[in-house]
Amino acid sequence: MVFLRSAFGRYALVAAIVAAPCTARVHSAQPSLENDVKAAFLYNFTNYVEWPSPSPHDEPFRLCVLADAAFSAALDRTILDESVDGRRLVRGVPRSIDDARRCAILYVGNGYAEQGAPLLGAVRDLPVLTVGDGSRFLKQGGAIGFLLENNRVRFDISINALQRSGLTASSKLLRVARSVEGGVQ
Amino acid sequence: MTKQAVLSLTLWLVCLSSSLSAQPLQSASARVPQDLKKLSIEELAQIDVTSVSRRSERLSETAAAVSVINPDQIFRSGLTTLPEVLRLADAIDVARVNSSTWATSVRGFTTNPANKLLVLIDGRSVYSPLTSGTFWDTEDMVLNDVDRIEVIRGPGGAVWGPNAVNGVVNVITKNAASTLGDYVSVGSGSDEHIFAVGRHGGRMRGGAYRVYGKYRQHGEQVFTDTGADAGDPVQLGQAGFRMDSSSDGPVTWVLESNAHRGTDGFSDRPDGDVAGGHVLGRWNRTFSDSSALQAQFYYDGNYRQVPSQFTEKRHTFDLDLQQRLKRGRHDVVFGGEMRFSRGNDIGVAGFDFDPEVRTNSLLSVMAQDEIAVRPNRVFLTVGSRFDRNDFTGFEVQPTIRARWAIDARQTAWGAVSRSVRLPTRLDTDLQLIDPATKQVTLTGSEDFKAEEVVAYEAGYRIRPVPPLSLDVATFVNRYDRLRSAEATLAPQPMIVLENLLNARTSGIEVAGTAQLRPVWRLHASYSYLHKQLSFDPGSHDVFRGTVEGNDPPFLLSVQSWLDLPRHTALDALFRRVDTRPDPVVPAYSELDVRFGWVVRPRWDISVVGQNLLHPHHSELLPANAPQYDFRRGVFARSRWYF
Repeated sequence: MVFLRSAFGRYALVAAIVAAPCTARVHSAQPSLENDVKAAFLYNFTNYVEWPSPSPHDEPFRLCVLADAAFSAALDRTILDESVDGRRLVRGVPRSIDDARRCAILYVGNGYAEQGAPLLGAVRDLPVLTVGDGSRFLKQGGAIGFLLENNRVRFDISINALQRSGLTASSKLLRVARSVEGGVQ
Repeated sequence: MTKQAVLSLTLWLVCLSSSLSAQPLQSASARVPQDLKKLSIEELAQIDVTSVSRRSERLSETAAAVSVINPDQIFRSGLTTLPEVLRLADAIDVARVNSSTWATSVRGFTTNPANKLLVLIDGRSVYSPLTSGTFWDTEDMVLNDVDRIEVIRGPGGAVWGPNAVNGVVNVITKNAASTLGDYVSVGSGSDEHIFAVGRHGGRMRGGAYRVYGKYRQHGEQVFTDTGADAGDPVQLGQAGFRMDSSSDGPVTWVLESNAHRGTDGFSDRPDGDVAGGHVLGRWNRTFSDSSALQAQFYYDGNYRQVPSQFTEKRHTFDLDLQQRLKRGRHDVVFGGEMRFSRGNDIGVAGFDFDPEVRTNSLLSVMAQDEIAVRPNRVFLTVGSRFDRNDFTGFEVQPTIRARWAIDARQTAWGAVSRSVRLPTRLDTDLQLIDPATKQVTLTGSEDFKAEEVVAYEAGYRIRPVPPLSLDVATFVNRYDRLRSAEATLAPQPMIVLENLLNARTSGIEVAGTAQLRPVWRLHASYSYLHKQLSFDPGSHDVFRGTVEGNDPPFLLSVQSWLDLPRHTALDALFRRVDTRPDPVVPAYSELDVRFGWVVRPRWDISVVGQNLLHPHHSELLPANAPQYDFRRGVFARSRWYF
């Protein structure tokens, strides 16, 4: 049992060291239900949007995020151990235009519009689902924009942006959207 | 859909419905909504984000010790065979015996063949009714087609049927809709001489299909004592298809088939031949949110020739029906299974099966009820399986499991279960005859009984912060009527296989995952096993139970995945296996490393180094057979998606 105890002790020590930086990051961020609902939407969009061609199945499904730590934490909670068509879901941080091109979904959060603009432009014609915050996001060329209505998270869709990316949204997604820009052409 | 998937689905439905009716919680602070994602987009759009949350259970929360191997893990490990891939699961003991044989078990009793682990591939049992255990050489597959591998530690007899004494491995392949387009993978190296995979997937009316072929040639090992080449290369070719109906609508179905042929090299005799194939069909009908029916049929045919031992021709037919019903707090699954397996087993040179042809039947009914005792918080599962078999008659395999979702981050669970291992022809029909004297030296017994275990398990999972998770499981197993090799003098000196061995094992298994940086993820697992054997009065086991398992007290594994710039990655798998006691196999550490580069979005290359720490090492040394070591190896692989 001494052996077991010492093994446990070692493990606890390792766990504590490993946990330290993560804890610090999470504590600095205020959890909010709005973030969790938006994260759940992002995860759910993978079921209602069809990407044009199958990607290598061993390559993770990248959900790239330009947002604050609170949203990133909410998304991590949501996609932990989840997969899309057998591809592990991972959160990516698009640091460059090259990074952004490898994303399946690109999310630009509140207050990150300026940083997001060049990335949005770079993936315009690629099969990347662009999602953002605020009504102006669609005007910037984004495909899905979140907004709050009666304390509820809703979203608008731009059909043009989807078509340019070669993405197909299910009729259900269009139905649930608050408004659909571009309409059925 | 597999049994597990259906169970998950019904569990999901229960969680969803109970979460919708749950009262709002008093404090939002500690209970972040973990499982909003299980709501539909309409429901998400209806949540008042200013009020407190609703929550439901995670799919992965089950009242059992489970680890799941995902495709990304398989690819990044660089491992090339199914039994090796199982090393990625927690607390599993995978030991190579030679180029074509592995001994694989959880919670002890690793031997060749390891007979306390039930392996299912897409719902098809690959547990041998001849020798017990799994012939891993023919269970090769296109690893890229694997959707996930669930490794469940602890008895699974109540759900999965006989022989799931210590655990269940459930390999699930991808829906054909997930493997559209063309795929080619080729590789070559020092040990893995050649492997090549080609696959084509497409859509058809009402669904999708894939067809594939694979060829693999593996080099020989070396002898433990001399380090000389052992002359046991292996090759296997296979081809197959899978068709899936589209998943919308109340009826879905799957049809898959595979055929293989190959040779297994041996150091001390000519090559052995293997050939075989299977056809499996599964049909699901959903009547409502609370009722669904599944029917599954498979045929599996196998030919195996092992020089100086036996030649087997086996045909297995299996039909399985399951109905799920949800009523209030109850989520019920009940069903039945019928299996016929006919083996024509011709012994060679004093290795006899008497009679040569034997058909075994298995008739089972099962029922299980998961009760939401306190919706969303406390679940109780009671279930049992009742099996009628030719060897021991009637067997009951009950289980009772409880799960407590302490809060959004912690779960505790406990279980008490009984499972059995049914006799195989090795236990009942085998006769070893001394070619010189024509005398029987070892014989099975027609009244060989089912080995049984009663297991007490408990576990705890916590996700203290999102990038970190920790999973602890403990168990005490009491085994009765294990196989023993009894010395007898009358009518002549020989060994008779009986059931006079008992055992008590206990252990603890700890596993954790940490996302240290966005680009760096670690997973580690540690397990400790204590095993004590005892014998019924009157036993004269000539091996003192050692042939039933040669288990290392502890196992450690660490997996690391690191994304590097320019679409490259560096991944590693480290394992430490403690000393096996009898016969002694020294403790060893080994390391596999993969460097991968995604050259183009649809083209990647990898260089993999295997067993890098030693020129060669031993994993399991059989007492009375040639002993092999496994070499350091390196190979390169390239994959294209079109």
